[in-house]
Amino acid sequence: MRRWLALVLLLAAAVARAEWLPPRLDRLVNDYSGVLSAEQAAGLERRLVSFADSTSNQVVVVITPTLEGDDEQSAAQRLGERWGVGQSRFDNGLVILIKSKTPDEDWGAVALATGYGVEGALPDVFCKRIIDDRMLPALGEGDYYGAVVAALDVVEPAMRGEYSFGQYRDDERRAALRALLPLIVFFVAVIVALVLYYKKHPDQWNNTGRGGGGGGGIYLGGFPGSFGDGRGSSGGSFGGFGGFGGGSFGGGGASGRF
Amino acid sequence: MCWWHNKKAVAALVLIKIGTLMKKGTVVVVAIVAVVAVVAMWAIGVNNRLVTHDENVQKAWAQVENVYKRRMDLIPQLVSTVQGAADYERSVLTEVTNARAGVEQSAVDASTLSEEQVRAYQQAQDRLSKAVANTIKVTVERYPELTATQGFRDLQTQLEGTENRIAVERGRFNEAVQAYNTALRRFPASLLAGVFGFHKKGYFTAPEEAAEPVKVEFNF
Repeated sequence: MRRWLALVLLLAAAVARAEWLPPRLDRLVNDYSGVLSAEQAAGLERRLVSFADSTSNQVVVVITPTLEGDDEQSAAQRLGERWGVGQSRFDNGLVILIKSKTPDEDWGAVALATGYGVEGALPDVFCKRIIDDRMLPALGEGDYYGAVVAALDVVEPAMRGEYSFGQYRDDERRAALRALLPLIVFFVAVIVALVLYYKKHPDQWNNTGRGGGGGGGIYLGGFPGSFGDGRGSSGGSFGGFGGFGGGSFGGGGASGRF
Repeated sequence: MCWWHNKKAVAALVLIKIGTLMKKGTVVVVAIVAVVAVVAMWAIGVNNRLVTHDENVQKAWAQVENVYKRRMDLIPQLVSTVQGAADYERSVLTEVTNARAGVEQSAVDASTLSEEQVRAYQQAQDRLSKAVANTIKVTVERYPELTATQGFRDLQTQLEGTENRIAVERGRFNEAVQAYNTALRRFPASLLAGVFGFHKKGYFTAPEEAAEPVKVEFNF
């Protein structure tokens, strides 16, 4: 009797906690919300297929209007596990799950779920940074495509093993420095110009009262413009996606809301 | 082609030969030996199947311990991070430290994993979960300047990731235990399981907050 009751309770708990899982199709970009244009979806698919072909890493993008009450992080993990994203030998899959904003559910969420094998290349903290720094700003403006591309630009080199979290952090620091560079150059130029000017006209150093004196032309060098990183996607082979490899997911990754 | 190549014929000949050679008592003995052999084969099969399931449970358990260990390793970092804040509430930190010590004491014998052991282990770990969650909650509520630091946010992400992993590995462990317990208690095999020293293993139960909506008193 007691056992039966426990079983019923267990079932009730399982029903109460919705488990969202879309059907598996043999493609890497799954836009159930219809927020990507046909060309964008096809372009992403090509990019991910060629990435999968060249590295065996599988990245799946799923955009859905609803999670049916499920938590985005566990939904992404479950999807990766059940679909078998990544190769079973390496567990090198990544799920990028975005719950889009809809009139009914006015909140958006994004979750990255990493397979066991890529937890090293994409630690949770790294995933969180990618979401906070690169995806959420674009998602906040409703730019789903931009958010996915911004994530892939960092994720792909990391998964390929070319790029580590440490390098990403250094890059961020360098980017911050680059943003400050025009300012620094400006101040240095002003100081240099002033020094040169007063060296040439030492008599003007203390003339606060008397007017006169030709205005010295102060040349400020042109600022070095800061360039946005122009890393584009590399469209590769046109072959279709060969199918999921049975990778396993242990709950790694991070999530955020917008 | 020689006659012994016809297997059926050979078998029939051998049986006739045995029949003519043996007395009644011998037939009985042979029959018993045959039955014993069949039973022994079956028992070996049952044993091997249970061993396989047992191995899977232990593998899953190792993963559970792994992810819990990961959290244990993060806790000193959490404590030292929040400790830096002036007038940080001692009672919150004491609770975390005590809960961590409690977990260290609740060692489990991986080869047994009885229901009592798993329950005790879970209780100690859940207490630590609650203490960690409480620490983060208090910090977010009362020490906003600390929450704003990258160090704290990274730590929070890592702890969240660890909780996710714990949930996943606990689920896998439960699946492995379910397969084991089912194999153990299915009828003919259940006769032997005890003899071979296989005993029922414990499950992790759902975390308390998930079970909250369903409140039933067990008074029988």
